[in-house]
Amino acid sequence: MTALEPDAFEGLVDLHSADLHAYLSRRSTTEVADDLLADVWLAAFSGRGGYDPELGSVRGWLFGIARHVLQNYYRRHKLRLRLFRVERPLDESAAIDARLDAAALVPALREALRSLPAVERELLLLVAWEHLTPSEAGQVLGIPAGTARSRLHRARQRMDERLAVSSQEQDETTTDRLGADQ
Amino acid sequence: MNLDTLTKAGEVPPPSPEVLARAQSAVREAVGRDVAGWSVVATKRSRRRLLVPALCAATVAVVVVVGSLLAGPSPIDSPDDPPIAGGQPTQTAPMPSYRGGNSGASCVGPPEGKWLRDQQFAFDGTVLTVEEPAAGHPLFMRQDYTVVTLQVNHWYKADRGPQVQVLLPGPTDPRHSDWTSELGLPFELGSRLLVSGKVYDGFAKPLVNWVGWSCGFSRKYDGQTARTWAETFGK
Repeated sequence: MTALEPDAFEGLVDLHSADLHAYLSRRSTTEVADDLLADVWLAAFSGRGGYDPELGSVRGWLFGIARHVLQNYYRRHKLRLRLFRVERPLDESAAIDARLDAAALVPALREALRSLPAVERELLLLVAWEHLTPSEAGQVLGIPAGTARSRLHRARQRMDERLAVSSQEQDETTTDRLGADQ
Repeated sequence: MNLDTLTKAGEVPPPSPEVLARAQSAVREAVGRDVAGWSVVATKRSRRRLLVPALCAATVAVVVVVGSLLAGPSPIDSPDDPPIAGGQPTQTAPMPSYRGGNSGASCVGPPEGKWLRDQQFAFDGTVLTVEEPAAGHPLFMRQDYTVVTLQVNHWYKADRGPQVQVLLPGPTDPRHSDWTSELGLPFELGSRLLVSGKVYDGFAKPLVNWVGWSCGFSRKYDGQTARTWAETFGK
């Protein structure tokens, strides 16, 4: 008997679709995510026999499938994975906050993220954006939980270092401008 | 680093109700097709059966883009893939596959030589009856096949008598519009077809299990192709 019975899937769809869609959307476009969401579920349903609860959570397993579906999509269309996507947030106040934050921080964040090794970058995004646990993020990428935790820690350290450098550079630029104005 | 900053930068709109409904509907359909525990998923074994020949097929002028449900890398496996009659894992032509949405299957050039010879049956027949699309057939997830009875004019391979029932890609399904070239299979009562394909076996109940592939493995009859088939099959 598989751990995931067919009848369980309708509940799983209700529970995880929005998060899977967000995952797909952040790494492509809303339209692509719209197209791929059903594919993720069909792949999950077809492969339910491959789910092993001892290897991780259903959520991590589903994101792993979503990742493969997305990779297949990009492979088919020969597009590069879009790393960063900022859409209109959920409400007006959040929109204002996010716009202010994004305007100031996204370029630096983007650069810092790009400087990370691919696995560390993906681990970080899976935790920050998809709210996966480090173990689940490791499950998505097919790496052991302990390794995921240590690499995630390393990723955060590298991000801090990179952002600190960016901040310092920005301060120096601002100081230079102010000096020039005077 | 504050993860909240990164999290906020990744905000995206939620999916529309239509998108969620489509996902739910796809799963319901798949559950409905999960007949008696049969799975239509490609296992490692069946993916090898399908993918390796498909890759090789490029060298013999047949390229079939197998949809991601069957051939794409996947973290998934299922142990209960229906066995193939005769248990011949090497005897597989690429399985023409349609994939919905924006990505359609494509067929490049007619099958010939080994890929045609490797089919488990081949005949020249005239359509006697056409039944409703066999939605729910455990062999297929996203492709409607039609149960067709044909009067056999000539057997090229696997003589089964004067009449035979096969599953063929539905002639009216708009998703097959990219197959309506000379390789396509628009058929009706009285149509004369050249049909080749595979026999699936191992089902728990009687079922039409002869499947005629599209992409030129099955096609409208024409004299030149019939001669080619006769040479290929040696009869």
